[in-house]
Amino acid sequence: MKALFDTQKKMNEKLYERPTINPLTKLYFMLEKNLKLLIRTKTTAIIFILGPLIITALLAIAFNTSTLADVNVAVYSESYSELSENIIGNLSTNNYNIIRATSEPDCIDSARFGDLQVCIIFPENMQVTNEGENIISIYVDNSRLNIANLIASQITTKVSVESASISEDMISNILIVLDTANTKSIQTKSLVSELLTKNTEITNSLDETSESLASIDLSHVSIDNNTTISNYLSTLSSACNSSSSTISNLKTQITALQNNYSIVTTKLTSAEDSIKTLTTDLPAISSDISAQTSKLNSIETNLVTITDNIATIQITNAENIATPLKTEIESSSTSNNFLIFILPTMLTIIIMFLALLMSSSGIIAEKESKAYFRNFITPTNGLLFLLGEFLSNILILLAQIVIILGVLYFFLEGIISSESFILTGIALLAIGIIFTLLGMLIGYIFNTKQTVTIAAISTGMALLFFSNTIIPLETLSTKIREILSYNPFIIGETMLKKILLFNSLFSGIDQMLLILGIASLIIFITAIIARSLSKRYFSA
Amino acid sequence: MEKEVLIQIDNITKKFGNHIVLSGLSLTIPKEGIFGIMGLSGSGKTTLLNILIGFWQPTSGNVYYNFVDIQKNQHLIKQIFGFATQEGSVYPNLTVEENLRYFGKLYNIPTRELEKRIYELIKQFELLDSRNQYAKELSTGMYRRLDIACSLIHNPKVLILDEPTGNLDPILRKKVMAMIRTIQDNGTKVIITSHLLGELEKVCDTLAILHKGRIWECGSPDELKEKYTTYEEMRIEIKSHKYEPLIPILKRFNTRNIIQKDKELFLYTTEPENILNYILNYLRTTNDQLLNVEVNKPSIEEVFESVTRR
Repeated sequence: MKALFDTQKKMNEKLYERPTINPLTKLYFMLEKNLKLLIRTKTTAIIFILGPLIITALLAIAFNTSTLADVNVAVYSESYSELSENIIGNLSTNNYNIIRATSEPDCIDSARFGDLQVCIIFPENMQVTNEGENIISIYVDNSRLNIANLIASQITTKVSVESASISEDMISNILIVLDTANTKSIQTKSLVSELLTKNTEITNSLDETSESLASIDLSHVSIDNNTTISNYLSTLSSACNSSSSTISNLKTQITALQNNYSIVTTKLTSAEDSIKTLTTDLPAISSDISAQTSKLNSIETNLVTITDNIATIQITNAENIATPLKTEIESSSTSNNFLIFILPTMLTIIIMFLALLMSSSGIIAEKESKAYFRNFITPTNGLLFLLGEFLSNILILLAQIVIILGVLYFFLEGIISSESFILTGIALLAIGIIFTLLGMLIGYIFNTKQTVTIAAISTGMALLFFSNTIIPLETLSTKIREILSYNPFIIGETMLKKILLFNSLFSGIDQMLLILGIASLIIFITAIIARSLSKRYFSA
Repeated sequence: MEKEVLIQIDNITKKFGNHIVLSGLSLTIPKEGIFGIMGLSGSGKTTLLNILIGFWQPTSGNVYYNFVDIQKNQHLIKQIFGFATQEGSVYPNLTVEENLRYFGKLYNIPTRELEKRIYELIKQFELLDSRNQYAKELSTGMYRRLDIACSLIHNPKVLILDEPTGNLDPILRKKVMAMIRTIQDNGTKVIITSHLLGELEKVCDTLAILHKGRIWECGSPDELKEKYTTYEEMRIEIKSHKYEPLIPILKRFNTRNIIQKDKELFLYTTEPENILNYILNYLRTTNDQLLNVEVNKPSIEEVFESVTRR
């Protein structure tokens, strides 16, 4: 019986087995079929071919700038002062659209409900005085995580600049006053020194005077000139000739002398009295001068203290005193173009969703196609079908990458080197491969267009949420962050950042490419299993 | 004479989870003639066909084609069997030729041979004028023909057709059935399932009744009818078309299911001759005329109903 079986089997094999054609030929026909099916579904073809072109072009046009443009700022104050007007003027010259709100609640609501990006409330009649607090309130919609802090920070910076300018003016005035005071103090100090010297001299002079006065001898002999000299004159007249003219002259002279003597005597007495008075007053004067000298010394000491203290002020630049510490955020990248900054994230998002949706919808379209069943019953290896689907998707993806790079080249020529463009292409392809395989896996796991689309979008969203794009990963625990470091979205984004922002070479991204490669291989194997299990699709 | 066996199904069981679709099914499909499988919806017809072509593995049991175990020789079996599903299995956005070419390549047919085969098939299935039309643009009948053509692209030895006339109007059904007969005559074994039992009866040489996961009966239509029926179907048409006075009298005979349909009276009886005699006498007394009378063996539907009532 067994012999009969074997003979019959050999006969059958001889009769029916065709020589297997080259798998590459089959693959070619599969690719041709898949591309035809894609192109003939016009809406799908338009979405997949023009989608990346439109998205990238729009991104490039929109973000090819280095400043925030047309930020609408609502301002309100019960009464605008020159100072608040200055700040508003400063903001309006910095690309902010200023809208004056009619009331404080209106202003706050406009920021809260997203009509305007920010609301600034100025104090009534804001002025820099000793009394006024001058608190400027800035309201932003914190739910707009990506822009709220940026705008608030920019507005705060603008206000701080104005505030620093005012501080600078005031400090300049104070410094001028201090400088004047210093100069005057120095001048006064020399005057005081002169006064002190003079005082010392005066004191010395007084001492000398006092001594001189004490040494003056005004003592004299009193003569009774009326009787004695008259007596001598009578005697002399009697003795000589009383009528003699000589005697008469002598007599006149003597009378004159007598008068002078009398005057001198009077004067001497008076001088003696004065000397006595002076001798009594001089110590008091000297004492007064000493007291003044002491005060002058005190003044001199104070002046020295003042000038010394002023001299200890090392920083006399008003700008440096107003803002002793300055912060300057230096980009680690050489470019300051917004497009470059957002490009890694945006490109990863575009490629991720394109690849996920394209491959998953391709698989479900194939599965839902009535012809899917026939593929299973042909003598063709399942792996070949999977490869066919994969390569079809990769071909389309390559076209999309070329379109994307072409658009970017148009906008970023000169900013990004040609080496970086090539590396970007390689990185995008690696990102595209892993998400294509992931999409295919989703396509094989789920059985309806709706579930596949939802699963593909959800997968993309989950990968996006657990990246740094929307919420900083730093908010998560270290353990989760460690796991999330294998998120292909994060790996892809990091790779593109390295290339586009830091001009990284291939050696800088090879490790990440390796991780993506290993992950792709795992997903590919899983997809093979999922495809073979998708036969269950027909069990109903 | 013992019929030559082409396919031997040996005690197969197929479960999907806990749901048993086929249970200990055994069946012998002869080499000659068109083979039909009848069964209610959900009886496991499609599952059985899918096992035949090696798409599903049976949970237990074996299937042999020319003594070769189908499950162990998948590659060979895929070259031998062609299969056309109930829904059709072609790409709507490919043209007639592109569909044939694509599947031909999957069956390893060399290019020159394939092009020749494509031409033969589109000619045979009257698709020549529509060769460059997308499958989605074809009429239902053309679409069905394309699907069968795709199943025949590799010139299989066995063509399995699952409800090939489903959703077709009577004229198209007739056309497809004629085409199936031609395929069989050209040397391809045809195995067919259909819920249109009358058609199966007309086209099939052997019929099997699948019920509750196993084959209950298998044989030629006449054999089955012989086995299952004692009543014969009578169709009577009289000139006046007044059957009301006749019906109570006919009920005295061994009859059942006496129904007036349009201008005819239908009934089932074990004594058609007695009834005919009585009617002739009756018509003479009423001055009426007999326009038509037919006595038929009951249809295969009756056989099927008898089996599936179990």
